Amino acid sequence: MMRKRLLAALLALTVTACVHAPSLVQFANNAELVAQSPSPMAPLFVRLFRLQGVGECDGPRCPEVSMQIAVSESGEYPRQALFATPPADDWQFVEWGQSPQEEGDIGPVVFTLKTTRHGVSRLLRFAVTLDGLRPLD
Amino acid sequence: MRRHINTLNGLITLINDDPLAPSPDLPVSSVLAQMIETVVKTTNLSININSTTGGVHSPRSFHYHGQALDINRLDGKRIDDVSNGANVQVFQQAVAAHIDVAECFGPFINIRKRGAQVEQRPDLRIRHVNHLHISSQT
Ligand SMILES: [Zn+2]
Repeated sequence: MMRKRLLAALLALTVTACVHAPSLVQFANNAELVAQSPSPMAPLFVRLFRLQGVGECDGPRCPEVSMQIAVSESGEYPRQALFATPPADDWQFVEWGQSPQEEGDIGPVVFTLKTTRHGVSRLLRFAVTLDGLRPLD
Repeated sequence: MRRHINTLNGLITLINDDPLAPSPDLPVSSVLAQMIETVVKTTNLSININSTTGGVHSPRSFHYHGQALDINRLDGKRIDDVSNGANVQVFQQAVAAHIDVAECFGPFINIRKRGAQVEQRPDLRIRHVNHLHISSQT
């Protein structure tokens, strides 16, 4: 339990720090749009881009993948943000989740991703707002 | 639900400032239509709407969802006509006070509203001296 909490805290620190922000050149050439909010008029609109590093597998070592998460309000001058998961062997979009409605504020957008590291896959649920990305599990 | 804006016997016109571009007389959110009709009736100021769902706007703009419109003439004069300042101010005040407003940008008032939260955006005045941008929350 303690280990799980520590892992979640470490992951939260990593994902919000945006240490793996790609250059615009990398993003424009290599990012693949894998999912976007089902409702275009939701208070927060989210787009998920799978971004694989350049290069090829060398035996068991393959280019790493991150998920880039673009968040925008609606409107003529929306606040917008971009977050990223830490790199892994793979990241895949699984599904959108139910957003908790927060009184007087814009609730986060919740989604589930599948990450694979050293051949082991697991599902991770995230909540994203304009202020950051945090794991829920 | 979408519908055309009621022209209120000519108080509201919908003429594109670019004569070669399509007419802005297109169905919009009924909440937006109701809001603009109410403001025109209460202020008794005529307007020309020069954009609804067409034109070039921000990629996440309310325009593309029928929830925004632009006004380039009020009481028969341009928005930036100095002799029209008092009318423009009265009109913007009425829009900003409406319960359904999401954005009200122009020479005098620049606000964004989400629910009951109001955000002042005086930095946007410079981008709205020639027109009013008005959007509704639904
Ligand atoms: Zn506009």
